Amino acid sequence: MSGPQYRLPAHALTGGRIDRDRPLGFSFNGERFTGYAGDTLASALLAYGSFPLARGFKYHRPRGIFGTGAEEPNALVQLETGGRSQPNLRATQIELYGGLTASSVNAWPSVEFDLMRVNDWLSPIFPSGFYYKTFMGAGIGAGRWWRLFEPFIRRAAGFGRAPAAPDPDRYERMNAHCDVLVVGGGPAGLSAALAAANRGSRVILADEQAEPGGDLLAGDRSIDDAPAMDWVAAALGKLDAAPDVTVLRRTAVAGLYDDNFATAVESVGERFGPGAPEHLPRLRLWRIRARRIVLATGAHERPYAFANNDTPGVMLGNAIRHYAGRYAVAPGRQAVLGTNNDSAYRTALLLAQAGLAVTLADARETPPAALADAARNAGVAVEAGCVVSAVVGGRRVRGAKVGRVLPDGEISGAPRAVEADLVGVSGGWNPALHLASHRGAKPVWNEAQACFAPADLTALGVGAAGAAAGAEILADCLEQGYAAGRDAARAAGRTKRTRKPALKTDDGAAGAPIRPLWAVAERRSGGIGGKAFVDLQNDVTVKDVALAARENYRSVEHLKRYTTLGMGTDQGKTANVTGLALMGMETGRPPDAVGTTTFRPPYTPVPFGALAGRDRGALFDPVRETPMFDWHEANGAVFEDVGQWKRPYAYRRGGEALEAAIDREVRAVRNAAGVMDASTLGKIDLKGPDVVTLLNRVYTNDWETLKVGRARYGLMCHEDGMIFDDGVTARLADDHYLMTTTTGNAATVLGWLEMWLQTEWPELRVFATSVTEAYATATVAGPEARRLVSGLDSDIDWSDEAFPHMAVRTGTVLGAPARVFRVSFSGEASWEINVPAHCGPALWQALIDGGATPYGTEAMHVLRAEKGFIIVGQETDGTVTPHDLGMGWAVSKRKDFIGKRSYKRPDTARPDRKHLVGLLPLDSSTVLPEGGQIVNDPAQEPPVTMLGHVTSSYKSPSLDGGFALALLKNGRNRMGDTVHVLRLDEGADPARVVAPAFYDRDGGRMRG
Amino acid sequence: MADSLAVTHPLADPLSGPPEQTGPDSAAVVLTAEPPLVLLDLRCRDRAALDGFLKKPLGLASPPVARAVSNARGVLFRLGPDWWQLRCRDRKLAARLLKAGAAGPVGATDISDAWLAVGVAGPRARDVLAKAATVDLHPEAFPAGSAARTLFGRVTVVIARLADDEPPAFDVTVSRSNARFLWRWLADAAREYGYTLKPFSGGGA
Repeated sequence: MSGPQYRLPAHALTGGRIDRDRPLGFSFNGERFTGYAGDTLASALLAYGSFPLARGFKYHRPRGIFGTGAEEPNALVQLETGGRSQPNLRATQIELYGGLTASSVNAWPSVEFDLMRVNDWLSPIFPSGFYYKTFMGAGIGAGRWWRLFEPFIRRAAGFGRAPAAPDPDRYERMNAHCDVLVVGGGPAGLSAALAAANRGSRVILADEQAEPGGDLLAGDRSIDDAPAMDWVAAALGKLDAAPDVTVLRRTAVAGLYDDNFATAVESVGERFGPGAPEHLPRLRLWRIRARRIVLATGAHERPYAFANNDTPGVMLGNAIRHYAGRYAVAPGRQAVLGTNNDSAYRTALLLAQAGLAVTLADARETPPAALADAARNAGVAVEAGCVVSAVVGGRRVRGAKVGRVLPDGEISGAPRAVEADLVGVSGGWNPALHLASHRGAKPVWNEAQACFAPADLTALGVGAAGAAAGAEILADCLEQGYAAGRDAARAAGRTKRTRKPALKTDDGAAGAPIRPLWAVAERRSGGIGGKAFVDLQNDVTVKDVALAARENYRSVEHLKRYTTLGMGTDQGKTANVTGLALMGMETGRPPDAVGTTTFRPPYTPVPFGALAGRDRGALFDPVRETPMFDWHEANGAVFEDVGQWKRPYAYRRGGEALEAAIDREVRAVRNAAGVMDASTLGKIDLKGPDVVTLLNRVYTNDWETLKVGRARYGLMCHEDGMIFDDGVTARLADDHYLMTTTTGNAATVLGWLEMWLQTEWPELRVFATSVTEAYATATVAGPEARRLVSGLDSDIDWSDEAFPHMAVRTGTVLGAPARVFRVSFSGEASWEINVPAHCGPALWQALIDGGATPYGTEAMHVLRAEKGFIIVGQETDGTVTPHDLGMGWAVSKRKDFIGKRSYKRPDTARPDRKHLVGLLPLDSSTVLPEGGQIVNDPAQEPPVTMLGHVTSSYKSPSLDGGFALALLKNGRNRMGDTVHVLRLDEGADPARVVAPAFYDRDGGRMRG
Repeated sequence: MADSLAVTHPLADPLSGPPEQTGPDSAAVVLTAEPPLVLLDLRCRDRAALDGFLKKPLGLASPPVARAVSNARGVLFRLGPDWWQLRCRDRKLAARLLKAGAAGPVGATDISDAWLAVGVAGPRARDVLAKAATVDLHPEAFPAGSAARTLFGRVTVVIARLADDEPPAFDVTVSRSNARFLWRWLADAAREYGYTLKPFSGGGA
C-alpha cells in the first residue's frame, strides 16, 4: 500500500478535525497504516485511497467505504483479536487509536482475492429466493440437499466471527432521569438542549459521534459570520457548565420505549482500544427516563441506483464532503457527483477548493441559478438534466458514464464517458425516524421532499427537530431545535421564560425542490451492463425488487423477506426508501401506499456485553450469607445454593470424600450430637388479636388449641388444595406467634399472608413482619444434644418435663436473649436455638466447643428422609395434596381454610392418586435415581404405563443401604409390591413398596 | 441486641475482598460500614395512634411515605402506608417501645440484627447508586429526608438521604445476609471513579 496520498494538505481546508501532531499507527488486514487523532478507521483508510476493504454479502464483489456514520453498509470490519474481538463494526464509527488492529469480514481467503466471487459470475442462477426455491421447495430430496449444502452456504454468507475467548472488558450500566432528552448533537440538537437548559430543565444530550456538531463538523458552514464550529464549541461550553445538563458524547440512543424510557450505549474505554485505562468500562448502557424527548437525529443521505454503483470509490455525496472537510481526506483526483437536490453543491465546492476536478450531474433540468453559478465560478462542470448512469471499473472506479435523463426517467441516447476516480451520489435525504418508529408511529410520506417524515408524536411527549423533521437549511434546524427544546421544557413543567437567540446563517439564496429519482441503468435503460444495487449490505439489486414484484411479493413485508432488503446490520439505512419506491414504480403505487417496515430497537447493533453490564462473574446474582458463614468456609464446608443463600452441604474434614463426610455427619446426629445452621429458615413474626384466625385460614390444620409456649406443624395450600409450604409455628404470647417457613419460600409466604390480609381480610388485626434475618439459628440434635445444651450458661430448663417436644421457651443463652424451639426434623431430640444474628458466630463456636459435630443440608436430608419427613419442592411439585402424602391428620374437617373446597373435586377425592410411599431397592447396595420413573413392567411394549417417580433417594448409614421416597399411583394400597424404577440411561432396578418411614417409626427418640 | 455473646459484624475489618482504596480519586466515593443498628419495625393502621405512641418517648411525628425524620433519639422511616422503621440511638428507648407495643394498635418488632447500614458518600455517590437504583436521586427529586425502599439490582434496600450535605451522603439499609454482596458490589461499581472503604472497626451499639 503506497502512502496516504489522498490526505489533503493542512492549508487547503479550514475545518479539519484531525490533530496532525498526533499520528497514530494501526494495522488493517496485516498491513501497517498511519492516521491521525480525530480520524475514524474509515477516514484513515480512505487517505490511502478507495481500495476494496470488504466483499459483498452474496456476490462477493469488492466493496469500499460508502458513508461516514451509522448508515455505512459496506465497511464492516472485525476489530481486534482474542476475547476483545468484535465482528461487523462499521469502520466509519470506529475512532482511531494507536495500535488498532482490524481486518475484513466475509472474504475468503482474502479481501484481495475472494474465491466466492464466483457467485457474481454465476449470479443468473442465484436470483432472490434461490435458496427457498432450490432447497426448501417440494422438489424431490430438497431437504437432503439443504443439509448437504448448508454449512457451505452459511460460511459463504457469514460476516464476522464471534469471539471464542471470554470478554476481558468490563461493562457498566447507569439509570438516569431528566426533563428533556435530546437525541443528536447537531445544530438542531444543540439548539434544543440550550433552549431547554436555559429554562432550568434537567437535560441529557446524547450524541453518537466522537464530538457533537453533526453536519457542522464538515467545517464549511458559518453562523454569525464565524465558523459554525465556533458556535458549537460555545454551545457545548454552556451545556457542560450547566449543573443539570449531561452531555453524553459517543452515546448512541439504541431504543425508545413506552413512557419515554430510552436506552443508549456510551462508548467509554472503547476508543482507547485494548490499552484503555484499567478503571474504565468499555461501554456503558444508559437507561434514561425522560419526561420529554426531542429527536434531533438528522437525516441519512440516500443514493440512487446505477450500474456498478457498488464499486469502491462510489460514495454518498455528503460523505465525501465530510471526509474532505472534517478529516482532510479526498479519495480521488477527478470526482463526478450525481445529484437530484441541492445538497451536493456544497460537496462540489469543497472538492473544487481542495483542487479536485469536479463534474456535477444534476438531474434537474433547471438547477437553482445561485448554486449553479457559484459552482461554475469555482470551476465545477455543472451538467443540468444529467445523471450518473454507470461506473466503469471493478476493484475501484476508473470512470463514469453521465447521460441525459428524460422526464420519464429514461436515459436519452448513449451516455457520455467521463474520467473519474471518485463518484458521489445524492438521491435525497431520509429523516432518521427510527426512534419515532420504536414508539409505534408509522412515518408519513412527504411528497414535496420525496421522503418519509416522522409522525407527530407530541401526544407521547416526543418532538422532532432539524433534518429529522425534514428541515433542509441550517436556519430551520436552529429554529426548530430551539422551539422543540423550549416546548419540551415547558411541557416538563419548566416555565421560566427565555429569549430566543437571533442567529445568522450562511444558507444563501433559496434552492430548488428535489427531483425524485430512484434508479437508472438496469431498470430503465437495460443492458448498460453491471448490477445496480439498492441494498449494498445484503446485495439486493434493482432487478431483485422487480423480480419480487413480478412474483407478487408486493407488500413491503414480503419485499423485505423475499429479497432480504433492509435486513442487514445497517437495517437498510441507505436502501429501504429506495427499495420501496422502486416497488411502488413497479406496481404503480406511490411509496406510502407500499408502506414501510417497522424499525425496532436497536438503532445500531448493541454488543451483548453492554446488555449484560455488571451481571457477570462473582457479582452476577446477590449472594446471601448466614451469620456463621465465615466459620463454615474456614471449616471445609461445601456450599449449596438454596435460592440466593449459601448453605453448607457438608463439611469435609481433611482429605475426606464428600460421601464419607455426609455419612459421618449422619452418624454423629444418630449417635451423639450434631449442630446445623438453620438461620436461613423463614421466620415471620405475627402480632395481633386475630392471628389465630389467620393461621386457621392459611394452614390446613387447627390452631385454636395451641397454647402459649407450644409449637405446631402446619401445611399451607393454595386455593387448588395443593401444598406450597410447610413449617412450624409457635405461640410466644397470647397475641404473638412466630411462623417458620421453608428457606426458599420465606418471602413468598410473607407476600401470601400480606396479600390475603390486604385484599380479602382487611378486618383481621394482624401484623406480619419478617424476622428471618434478625436471628441466627443453630439446631442441636442427637442423643447427646440435651447434655450439650444443658452445659450452656442459660436460664432455660432443658429437661423433658420442663421443655417437652414441640414446646418453645424464651430465656437467655450465654447471656444473649434466646428463643428455643424443641422441634425435630432429624428424628432425634433436637433444639433450635435462636439468638440475635450478630451473636450467631459466638453461639455456634460454643456449641462446637461443647462437642457438637456440624452437619450440612445433605445429612439433614438423609436424616429427615429416614423419618419420612417431606421437603416442599422435593416431595411436592404443586400437584400434591396433604392426603397424597398421607398427612390427612394435618387437615381439619372442622374449619374452613384455603384449598379445602378443592378436596371435593373428583380428581382430588379419588382414592388412587399418587401417594407418598417408601421404596427399598431389592439390592440394598443400589441407590435409586431421584426423578426415576416407576413402572410395573420394564419390558412392557411402549407406551409404558408410568406410575410415578422417585422424589428423594439416599444411601442410609443407619439402614446400611439405599432407600427412597416416591410418589406412586395408588401407592398406599400397594404395600409390599415390587415395582421397577427406570434408570436414567437404561435398565431398571426392582424395589419393594413400603411405608414412608424407615427409622424410629414410633418417634420415641425425638421425644426422649 | 445482644449483651454478652460476642457481636460479629459482617463488614468488619479485616474483610477479604476488594482493596480499601483504589481508582483515580479515592475520595470520589466513600463507603462506610455503620455500627450494628437498634432497629424496630412498627406497624399501625392509624397514623394518629402511631404519633401518640411515639410522641413522648421519641418526640417525632410520622413523616409521609418514602420520607424520614430524625432527632437526637432516632430516625423514623416511613416505608409504607402502615409501615415504619425506627432506628433508635439507644437500647433503652427500643426496649421501652417494644414493651409498650406488646399490646394495642402499634405492632413493634425488634429487627435490629436483620439489617445493616452502609454509608455511600462523596461526589460520585449518586453515580454509583444510579448504576443499580432506578429511583431518581437528583437533589430536586430526592431532597434531604427522602427514604425509598427499592430494589437495588436484585437486592431490597432502603436508600435514604438524611442530611442536606453536598457532595451527598446516602444511607443504605440492607439485609444482613446481603450486606457483603452489596459492599463488594458498591466497591466494584465505584472502581471507575475511585473509592475508600471504611469497614466496621468496633464500637457502636
